[in-house]
Amino acid sequence: MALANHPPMALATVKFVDVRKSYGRVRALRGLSLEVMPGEIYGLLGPNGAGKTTALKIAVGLLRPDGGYVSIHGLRVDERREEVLRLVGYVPENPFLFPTLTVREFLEFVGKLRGMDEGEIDDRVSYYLSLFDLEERERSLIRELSRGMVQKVAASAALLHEPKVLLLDEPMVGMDPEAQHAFKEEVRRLVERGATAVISSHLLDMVERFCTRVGVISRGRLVAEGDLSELRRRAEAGEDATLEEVFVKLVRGLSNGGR
Amino acid sequence: MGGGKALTIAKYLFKAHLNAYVRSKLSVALDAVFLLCQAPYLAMVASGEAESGVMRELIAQALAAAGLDKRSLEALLSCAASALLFWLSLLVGKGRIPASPAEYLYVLTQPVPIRSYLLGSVLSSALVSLRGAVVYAYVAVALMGLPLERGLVLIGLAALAAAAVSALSHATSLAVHLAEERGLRWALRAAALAWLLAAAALAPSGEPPAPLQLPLAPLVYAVVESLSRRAELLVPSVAHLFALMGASLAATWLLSSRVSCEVFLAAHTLPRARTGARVEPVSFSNLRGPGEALALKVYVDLRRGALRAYLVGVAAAAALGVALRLAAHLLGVPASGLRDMISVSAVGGTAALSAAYGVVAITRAVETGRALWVYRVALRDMRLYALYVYAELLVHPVALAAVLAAFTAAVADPSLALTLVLAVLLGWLVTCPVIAIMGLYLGARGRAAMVASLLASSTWSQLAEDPAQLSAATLSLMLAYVTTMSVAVPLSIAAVEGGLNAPLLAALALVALASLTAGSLLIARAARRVEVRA
Repeated sequence: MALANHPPMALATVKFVDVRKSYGRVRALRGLSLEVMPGEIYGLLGPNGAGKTTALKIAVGLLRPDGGYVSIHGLRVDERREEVLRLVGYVPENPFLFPTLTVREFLEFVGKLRGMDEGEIDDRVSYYLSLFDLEERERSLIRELSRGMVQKVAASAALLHEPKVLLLDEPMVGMDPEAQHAFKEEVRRLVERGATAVISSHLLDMVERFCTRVGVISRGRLVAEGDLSELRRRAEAGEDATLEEVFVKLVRGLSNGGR
Repeated sequence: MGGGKALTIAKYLFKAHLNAYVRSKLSVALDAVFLLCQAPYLAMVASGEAESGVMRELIAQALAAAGLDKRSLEALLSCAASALLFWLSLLVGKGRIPASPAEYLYVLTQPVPIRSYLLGSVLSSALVSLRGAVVYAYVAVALMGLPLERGLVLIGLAALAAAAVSALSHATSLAVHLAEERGLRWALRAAALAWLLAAAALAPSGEPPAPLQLPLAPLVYAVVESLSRRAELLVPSVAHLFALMGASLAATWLLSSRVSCEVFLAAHTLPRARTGARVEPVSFSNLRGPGEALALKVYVDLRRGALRAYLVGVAAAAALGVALRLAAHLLGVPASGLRDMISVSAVGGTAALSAAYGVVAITRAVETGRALWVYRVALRDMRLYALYVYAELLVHPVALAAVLAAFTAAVADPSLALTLVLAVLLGWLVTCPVIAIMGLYLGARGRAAMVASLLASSTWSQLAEDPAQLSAATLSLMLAYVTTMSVAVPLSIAAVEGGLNAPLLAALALVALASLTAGSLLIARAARRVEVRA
């Protein structure tokens, strides 16, 4: 899959409408508005501190916006949190899992909170343990795992219930190439079955090849959006410019513009 | 609605606690040794061969000396517990409920109502308390001379008390949070103050002022009654405790439907701007030398970690002391009796606090030792490094002692309060070089395991990897206790007998200066010579 146009006139699956959020004097989001269409794998790019993690935390209801709102499948997160969360699978930026639960116990816990039945949980947990090559570690405490293994467990927890919407904040940090490949294939499989994904990442090569559309956030605002050719035009970059070159031009242009 | 998920949450939170305990062979072994040692004594008490209730006799004598009986003790403790666990939160606490990062990121992002999570955490706190409840029951049965069957009652009571305190804490935090959000915090504070002042003013002298004892009175009465032979009020106070827990749960249930996840405070997961004090950026080109850089590092550590908490702690401890004195006055407790009780416990409390900090101190020293190469590269004179280590290791125990001293000064004697701070300062001036040098050697070897977490949840593999850290932690703990006690006891006696005069203080200052100089030279020498392998 490569960056491509989305079908026109579709109802947005994930919608940020003029979302604002401050932490004391720090303004993390300054009126972020963007729409992610059904079946898209939307890449969310931006320099450190641009507001990507804050945006995703607002989308799962962990933070409340100071203004504006986020809706998922037409449901406002601040008004119908539980209904929205039934649809969502979320991988946080820093996967702080329960260090003293075993891998299987943790995934079973998430499955039960999702309302899945015992048999379904057992099948799905076994499937993901096998997919991410964690079968031998299922009885290990999470604190005994390496960073990459913890990331695999966090990804499994997000995918366990086959969510309709995936909100993924740096989901592949620390994963080995094999696991990264398996994770991307799994996301693609879910998208082909009707899911939508939003991925925040600094792995620009991956975003270029994997995402269907990209949004660039800087200082809490969406500054550019589209497929690679649209971004190239916006950045006034050449035909052969990579996403990395386009991204650097866009962000540097904003900094030089003093915005 | 949501009750099933609350049970699931409680079950897995408890499981996480249990796994940590069961897989920590050291904890299991220590508990087994403790129980085995007590078994013969318990058997003798059960068969009537041994005389029990030594502690009960001692407490009875202490209470009689202070002019207190069981009822006035219950009233006094109820006032103190309510002030500490309820009124203080209402007046100065933040409207935040602590959640572990995992609970914040993986429970609160599931389709679970916030009230289910809160109920689950209340249930899990009751389950987790069961382990400590066994010790509580043992203490009650063996030391207070109670019948063995009371032990089972006490275990259930401990779980109920933990649940009640947890539910009350959640309800209070939610109320404060909602008031903050609506800009009505001032109204909540004004109402709380009005209640406290009216209760104090209207209560007849010499009688327990019931409104000041609320809301923790049922808990305190149940605990005290459960520990006494003639427990006339045990059944009604347990019934009241159930009512307290029910009312707190109902309030939590009601209020939680009006808050967002922002009520939760999860360390390490919220953006830095919200969790720590802002420290203005400093240009290194403006620093006048490495000494200023080190001083700045200590300042930043303090700003980031604890300064505000300590200042609030000193104010809160002083306020609590004044409240206790007021309550004692209202109860007609003789001031001299209260002063004697607080004086004795303050010295013991300070030494225990100092000992507990010993383990934290060795952890900090190991971490500083790990960064030794940085100081070696940056500094020409390692005495600066030694002074930095001193500052880092001294600030926290002295600040903690100041919190305890503020309470002691308000209740008992200001000279005793000064003694406590001096004792900790002197004790730690002597202890610091040993802990710092141990930390240097352990840190410079590149051992990354944190001593404190090693103690909390050790496994044989971790211990096998670096048993020296456990030895260092044990030694630090003992050293801190012995040095603090050896300074605190003679100084306290001098303070009580009025011997804390200017010549003695001058002599102590000389000893402190000599310890600091000798200690700095020792640390600097070790810092120059230790082989860095990290």
